Amino acid sequence: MLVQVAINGEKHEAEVEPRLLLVHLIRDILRLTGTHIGCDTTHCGACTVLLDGRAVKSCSVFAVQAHGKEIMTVEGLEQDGKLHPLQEGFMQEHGLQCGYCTPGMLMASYAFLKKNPQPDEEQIRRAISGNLCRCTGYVNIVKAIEYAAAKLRQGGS
Amino acid sequence: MISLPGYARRGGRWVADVPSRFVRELTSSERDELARLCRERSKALGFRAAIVNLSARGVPIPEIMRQLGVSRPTVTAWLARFDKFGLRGLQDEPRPGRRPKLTPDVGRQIALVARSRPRDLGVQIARWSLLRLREYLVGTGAVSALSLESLRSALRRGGLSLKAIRTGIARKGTTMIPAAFEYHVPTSIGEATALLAKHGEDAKVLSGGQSLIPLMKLRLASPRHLIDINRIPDLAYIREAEGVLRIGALTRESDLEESDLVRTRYPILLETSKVIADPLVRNLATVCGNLAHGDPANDHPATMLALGAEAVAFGQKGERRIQAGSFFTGPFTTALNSGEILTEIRIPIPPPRSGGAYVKLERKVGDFATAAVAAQVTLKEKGVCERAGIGLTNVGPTPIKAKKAEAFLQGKRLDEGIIKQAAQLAAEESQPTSDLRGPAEYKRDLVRVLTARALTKAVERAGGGR
Repeated sequence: MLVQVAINGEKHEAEVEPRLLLVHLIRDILRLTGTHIGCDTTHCGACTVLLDGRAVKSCSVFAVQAHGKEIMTVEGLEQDGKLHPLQEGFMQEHGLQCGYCTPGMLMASYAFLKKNPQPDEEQIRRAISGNLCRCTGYVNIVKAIEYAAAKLRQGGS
Repeated sequence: MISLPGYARRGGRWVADVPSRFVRELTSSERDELARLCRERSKALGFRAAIVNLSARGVPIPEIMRQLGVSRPTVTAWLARFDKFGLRGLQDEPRPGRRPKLTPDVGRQIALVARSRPRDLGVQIARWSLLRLREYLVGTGAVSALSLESLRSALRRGGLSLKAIRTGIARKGTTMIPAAFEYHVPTSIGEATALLAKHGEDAKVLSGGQSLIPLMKLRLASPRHLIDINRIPDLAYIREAEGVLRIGALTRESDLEESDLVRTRYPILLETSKVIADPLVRNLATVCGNLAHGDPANDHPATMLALGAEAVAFGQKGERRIQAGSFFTGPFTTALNSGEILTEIRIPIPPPRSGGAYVKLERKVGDFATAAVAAQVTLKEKGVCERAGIGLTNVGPTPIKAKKAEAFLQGKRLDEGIIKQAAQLAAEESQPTSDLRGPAEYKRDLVRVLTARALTKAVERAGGGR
C-alpha cells in the first residue's frame, strides 16, 4: 500500500505492507534513526513521535494508519541549527545518561508543554510516565523539562 | 643425560623423534589468503588454514597438534591435501546426493539483490517480496527459472530472510512483526459492518489499537482482515443529549481527560481514564475499545457497570442496545456478535445528589489494577441511598457488578457502618485468583478496602457528606 506522510514538514512516500509498523517506516525505510525502538511491547516510549500533534508510541501504530498525516520526530526539534529549549534543557540539566530514551522523552514532553506550558513537578512526572529511562535519571529529566518550560514561557523559541 | 632411541627431548617433554614434515613453499597470494582464513578460525576452513599456516612458519607437527588440539592424522591429512590441491584442497569435498540447483555464485547474486533496495535497482517498489524478487532475477537473466521455494531456501542458505532484510533486524527471534493481514479502510459504519459480515471471525476492528496491535506483535492475535474504523467521520464525540451522556466509538481516553464536560460533571470517568496505561497510549486508546476488548483487567468496564451504562452495537441488521450488566460474558468475550461494532456508550445523566469515584491500586503507574472499584451513588433527601452502582476490576474472569452490595445499600443512610458492611459484601462477590499481583485473599480484602473508599468518596461528591 502506498503511504504518504509529512515528516517534520517534508513529504515522503513509500510502498509498504499493511503490517509495517510506523516506527519501521520512519527508521528503516525513511532512514530517520533518531526515533528509537526500546522494548517493542508498547512499554518504554523510546519510539514516541507526534502524529497530527498527539504524542504516540510509533511501535504501536501501523504505517498505513499514518497515511496523509503529519508526523514530527526528534529530528524536527532543532530549527535553523538552533536547539529546541527542551534539547537545551536536557543538555544543561544532565537530562540524559545513555541517551536511549531521550528522543521519546523529548517528544512526549514537547507535546505535553504545548498543552500545559506551566506544569508542576507532579504533572511532569505523570506526563512522562509512558517513557522509561533505564538509567533511572528521572530527577534530571524532570529538571530539564522544567528548564524548557521556563525558557519557553520567556519566549525562548 | 638419558637418551631414548627414537625419541627426543623437546620443550621439556619426550616426543617421537620422527623427522617433522612441513607444508610446501607458499606463494605470496596463498599466504595472504591463508592469513585471511585464519582470522575466521571458528569455521572449519579457518581451522584448516591455521594448520597450513603454522606449518609454513616452520612449526613442527607435534607443536601444531598441541596448539590447535588436533590429532596427528588430521594435521598430516590437511597438509597433504594442501600440497596436492593448494587452497582448493582445504574446501569440503562434494557430499553425496543431488547437487543443489543453484550454484554458489548464483546464490551470492540472489543475496546481493535481496539486500539491495529495489529502487536502487530501478524497481519502483519499497521492499522486496519473494514474487518481486523472482521477477527481477528472471528478468535480468540471473536465473532462467526459479520456484519460490528454491528462492526461499537460497536466501536461507545465504543467512537471509526477507523479513530480516525488511526490518533491519537480522537476528532471528528478536522481531515483533505481526502476521500479514489485509487492511480495510471503510469510510462509513455501514461499509465497516458489511466488511465484518463478509469476513466474520477472520476480521478484527482496529480503533485505538493499543491492545490489539501489541497482541498482534506477539502473534497472540493474527486476524486475516483488519478493519480500520479510524477514518469513519463523526465517531469521536462526548455530548449530553436526551438524558444520556454519549461517547462515540473513536473517542480517545485523552479526549475524556481534556473534556470540560467530563472534568466538571463526571469525575468518575476522569479518574478512570487517568489511570489507564500512560498518556501516550491514552492518546490513541478509545473508551469503546477498552470495553469491547472484554479484558477483565481493563478499567472502564467497572465504571460503566457502576454508572448503569448501555452499549450501542451496530451490525448489518441495525442497532441494538446492551446493558453494561450483560455486556461482559466471559474473559475477553462480550455480548457483541462477530458482525457488530460497538459504536457508542450511553451513560444516563446522573440526577442531582449523585456522585461517583474510581479507586485503583496499581503496582506502578500504568499497570493493570491489582484491584479497583468503581462506585456511583444517588441520594434522596436526608442522605438516604436511592441507587448505588458498584463495579469491580480485575478480580474475576469478567468485570464484576457487585449486585448484593448494591441492593444492600438501597434505602439506607450511607454512613460509615453501612458502607463498611457493603464493602464486605462486595469483597464476597469478587472472584480473584492468585497471580503476580498478589494472592487471592489479599485481593479480596483489597476489594473490601477499595469499595469502602470509593463509596465514601462517591457519597461525599453526591453532597451527602455535608
